[in-house]
Amino acid sequence: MSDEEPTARALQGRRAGIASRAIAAAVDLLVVVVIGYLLMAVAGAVRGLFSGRLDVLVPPAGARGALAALLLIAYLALGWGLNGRTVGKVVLGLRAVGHDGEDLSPARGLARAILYVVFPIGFAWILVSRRNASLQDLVLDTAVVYDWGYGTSSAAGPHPPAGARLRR
Amino acid sequence: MADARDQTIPPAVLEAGRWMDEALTSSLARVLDALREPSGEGAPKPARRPHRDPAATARRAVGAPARAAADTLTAVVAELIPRALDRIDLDAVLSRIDVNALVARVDIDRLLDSMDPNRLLERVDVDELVRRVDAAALAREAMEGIDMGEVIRESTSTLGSDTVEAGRVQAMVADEAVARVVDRVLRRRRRRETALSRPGAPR
Repeated sequence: MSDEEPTARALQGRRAGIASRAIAAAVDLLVVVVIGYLLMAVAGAVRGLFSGRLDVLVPPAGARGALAALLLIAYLALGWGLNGRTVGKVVLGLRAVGHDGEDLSPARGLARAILYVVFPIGFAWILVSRRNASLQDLVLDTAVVYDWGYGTSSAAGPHPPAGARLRR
Repeated sequence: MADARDQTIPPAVLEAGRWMDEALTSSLARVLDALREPSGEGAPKPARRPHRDPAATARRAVGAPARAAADTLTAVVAELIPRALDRIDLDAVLSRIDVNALVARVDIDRLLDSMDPNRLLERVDVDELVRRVDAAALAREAMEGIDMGEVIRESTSTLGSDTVEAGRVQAMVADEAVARVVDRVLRRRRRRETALSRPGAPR
């Protein structure tokens, strides 16, 4: 264990600052790009079964942006909706939660994902926010906290069905 | 023997006592007879030696019969004791003894002090002892006391994740540093409120 481990433990559950979140976001983008290329490769392979040509299926220019955006939204919504984590957040030990630390509902996860893709600049608000909140956090009453998986975080335990969760 | 005591002593013992009394008296009489008549079994009296030393003479005179008497007495007593034991009802005697009181009189601490624990241990068959211990039940009990989840988490987390941890901590430090810079630029006095709000509290 590193020497800073006690400090890290003390910070669990506190809102994370812009550096951690930015790095997590960068990792997420990288992952999405990789997934995108994988999907294109798979699609190309499937088409190759029929056409006899094996190449990566690149979507036409116009559709490319929209597909990328959809992919990003799906990726983020899936991560945040399930247990508040995406790959980037897992690496950085962060978790997206509601304002009391409860899990995000899939609906809120989806809304958050859409808002980020549509209005990414809102992320920069973390820099000046007193509560380390992005604009999206303020709108949706969410937060991103340090959560390395110690103790009884809901990432470790079973999830109740989304509909049964109460909004506090 | 006093009559009052006759009531507490069992008749068997009384009878044995009387018999011994009788036997001893008759034996003693025999011994005294032997003493009065110096026998020829003892040390021979050299007839030719002149009686110069009266003390030696006296010793010689008494020595032989005394030895004879002692031998006789020993033989008598040796014969008496088994016969006496045969006549005494030992069970009756023992049943009158309060064994618990006897044991209470034993100083157990001194007894224990005199024992050597190491030698005691040598007598213990450790293998048998180990076999008797239910290791599975013990292990189960021990496991219940240990938070296995935490142990597993701690052990697996050290598998190559020290780098990740170090990186995370670096990110935390960077968060703090950036926040401080920005706050100073904006001339904020209070530090950022990074704890999550409590339920019901105003944002």
